[in-house]
Amino acid sequence: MRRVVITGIGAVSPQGNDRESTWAGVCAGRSGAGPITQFEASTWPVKFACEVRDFKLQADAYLPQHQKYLNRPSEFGLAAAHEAMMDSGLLETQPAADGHAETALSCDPELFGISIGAGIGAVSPKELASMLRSLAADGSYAELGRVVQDQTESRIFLRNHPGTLAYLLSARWNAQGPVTTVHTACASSGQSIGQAMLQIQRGEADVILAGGADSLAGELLLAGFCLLGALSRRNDDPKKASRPFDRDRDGFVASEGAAMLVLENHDRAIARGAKIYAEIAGFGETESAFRITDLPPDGRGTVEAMQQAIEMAGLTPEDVGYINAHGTSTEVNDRVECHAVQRVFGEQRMDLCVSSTKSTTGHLISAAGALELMFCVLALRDQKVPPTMNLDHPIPGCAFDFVAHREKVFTNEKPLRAALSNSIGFGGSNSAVLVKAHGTPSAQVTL
Amino acid sequence: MKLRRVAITGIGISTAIGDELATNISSWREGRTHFGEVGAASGLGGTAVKYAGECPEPPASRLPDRKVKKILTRKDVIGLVTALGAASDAGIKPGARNFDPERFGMYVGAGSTQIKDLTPYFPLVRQCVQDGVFDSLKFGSEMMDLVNPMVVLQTLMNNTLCFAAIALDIRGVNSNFMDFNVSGLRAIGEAFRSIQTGRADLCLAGGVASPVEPFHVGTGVNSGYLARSAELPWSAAEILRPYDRQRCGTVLSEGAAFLMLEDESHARGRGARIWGFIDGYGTGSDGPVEFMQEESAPGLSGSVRRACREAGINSDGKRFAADLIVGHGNGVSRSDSVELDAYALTMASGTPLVSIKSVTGELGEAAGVASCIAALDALALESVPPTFNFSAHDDLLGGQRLITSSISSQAQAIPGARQALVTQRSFLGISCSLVVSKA
Repeated sequence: MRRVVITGIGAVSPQGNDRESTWAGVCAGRSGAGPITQFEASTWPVKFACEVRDFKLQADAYLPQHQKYLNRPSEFGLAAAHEAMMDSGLLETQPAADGHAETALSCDPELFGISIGAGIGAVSPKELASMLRSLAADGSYAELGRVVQDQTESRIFLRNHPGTLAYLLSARWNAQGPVTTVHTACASSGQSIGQAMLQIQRGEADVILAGGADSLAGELLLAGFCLLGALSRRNDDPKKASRPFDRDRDGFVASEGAAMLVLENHDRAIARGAKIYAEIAGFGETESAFRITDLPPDGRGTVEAMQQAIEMAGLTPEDVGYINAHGTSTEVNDRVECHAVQRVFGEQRMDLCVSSTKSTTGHLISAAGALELMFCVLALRDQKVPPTMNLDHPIPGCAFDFVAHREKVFTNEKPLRAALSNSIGFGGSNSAVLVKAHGTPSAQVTL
Repeated sequence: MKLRRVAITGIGISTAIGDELATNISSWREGRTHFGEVGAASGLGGTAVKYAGECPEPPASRLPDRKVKKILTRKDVIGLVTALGAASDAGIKPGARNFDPERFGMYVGAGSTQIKDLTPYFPLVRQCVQDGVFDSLKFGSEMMDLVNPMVVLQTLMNNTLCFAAIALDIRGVNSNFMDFNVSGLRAIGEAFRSIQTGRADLCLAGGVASPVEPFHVGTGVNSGYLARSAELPWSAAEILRPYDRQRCGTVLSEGAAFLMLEDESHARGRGARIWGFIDGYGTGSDGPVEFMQEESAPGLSGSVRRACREAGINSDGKRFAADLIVGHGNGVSRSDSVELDAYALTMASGTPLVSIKSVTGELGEAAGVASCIAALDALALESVPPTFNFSAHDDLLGGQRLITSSISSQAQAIPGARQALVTQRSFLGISCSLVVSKA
């Protein structure tokens, strides 16, 4: 089985529009929450979200003819992918026939893949309205198909399909290997990255650009989650609204963004002298559908996913120093996830850091797993873990270090060697992805 | 690592033809399409599409809980009923204990949200648009009273996976793929990998699509993907013409198809019937190819090579000698052409090729799985079903295409046939190929 390492990372988030500003923001505990700016929301039950701000997509992140297929989450995904690809060192500058330099991918296209966790991709009300206003005033939708058919640039279907981002990326970066889109709600990008790892392990690809992109800050999706009652209504203090594991939590905060990681066959990365962030060494995925939005109270599924990831990595629970928890700030999720962590890691693990960066980023849904795995990787790089903000009254009975309010820095005497990212999705899909410091032998990892 | 052999132990299918396997297969062999006229009731009034395939309403009695019909979309009801049918065919039923739930996985290729699923928003959205401007303040103040609170749960695209998992106590590996038409075949391929490498003992896998709705049809007509059947002189049965020189686009169909895949020793241990085996799987993408403008299909060629190589199909070093191909062939002009090019590059000359889509229609995310079922039937009977409506090849793009596959509107005998290649492309250039063998 081949080993898999991470050689490039990119991100767009409410904390910043690249990897390092995002990382600096979460480590500083800077909340991305604020009043909604994409539309006027003062009459909405929820008036705030974690929005990406001051974002502009670079023209060379996509092929120009694909402008018509772009929507907000895919733009985030393309930008994060561009940063990750540039970071990876996989692009070589070569002289072109006309004397100008051009860049080419130093990788066999047939062994280069894409694996994306993508969101639901609902149309915007403006798109919907543009179709509906062409219809009869009696409210009949009998000719809606004709309206879509007759639009001169009828790309609304592709623009809003979850699978389109993977296509845009495969076209931009000439990926001719496995190209995959996963949607398992909040577990989407954890699964997309885990499955990419397995594909490289099995030799189906040498390099896979993997991650997720999503936006829950648009009108219809935000309305859907308002209706469901899943969002925090702390309108008077948005920055305090996402409070994972806190007694006073009342729901999650809608967010948006993307994170992309370049996964690469270890030996190939070594041979080309690539910068290696970390080794992606373990992946667990389980299904624990209980009710569509609820977890089994005993944490089943979440427990087994973590155990699988640890076992695949050849580690023990004692080797893991940090868990980036799913920690949504909802009543049931946080309670059940704490219980699950206890079952895997023991009830007294004050040396185990468990933080939820959703306290600052909000919930990026399909992109959450990728962004949070990025935090695990950068935690290994910088030997520090980001805090859980707003955690004033932790769930009782959990003897972990929740890294409340302030980042934690590891020491040379007791370094962080392995970290785990949990994702738990509506519909019961769970994923756990484990990364470890590159060069850490599986059997000898100690804290 | 020693790889395990993966058997197919259950089949479930629902199409416009019905939800009986034997009825579907006989229709494919006899050319009995079940396309019906579509129109205003489906939101398709005034479109250039006259015909499509729509499933009969799934009976509530086939659901594990009748109440789920209030939560699920029509697509997911069809998917759930079909998935449970495949499990039942395999002898795996709710409450049964002839498997370890944690070693039982599920992979689904699911169709996307349909515009009709957003109808709970329509009345309010209409009220909130004045002179082309959307009034979000009015929307925000009234939505809690006027919109069904379940709308977001109804439109989750992993609902077939979720509800089948609840019904069957599936706790193992899983995923929900959104790769357009290849999703179902990818689900089969990934389930195959999970069992082969020991991550699961059995997996339910397949695809579901319900594309006969305004979004899909409007976009399909606009882009040239769909046949403008309302403007053609042909009957419903004559419109979808795979690989034929008169092909003019595809016909959308609703449906689902699922297989139960299982480690061979696990299947034999519980005395399960074995329909066949999966021997190889490959995927590929065309890279920088424009929607509906492809001039070649390198992703399909690559996926075919990978699947055939893994399956151990004989090769002269360049071309593989499978006993037959159940191809993508959806009657879309460029797609069929580049598909034939890919076989000319990768498959031995004279390899029998069939597309069942002239009868089934384009089943979207379920299409590749239906083709797998057709391949198993062809191997069992040692007979390739006809490609209905095929009469002659064209000379598209200057007649430079080298057609090496053997396509016929008559059944072709394949005595001693053992392995079949199944392929599926998406219109955005992603391909999956699978090799199945007879039991």
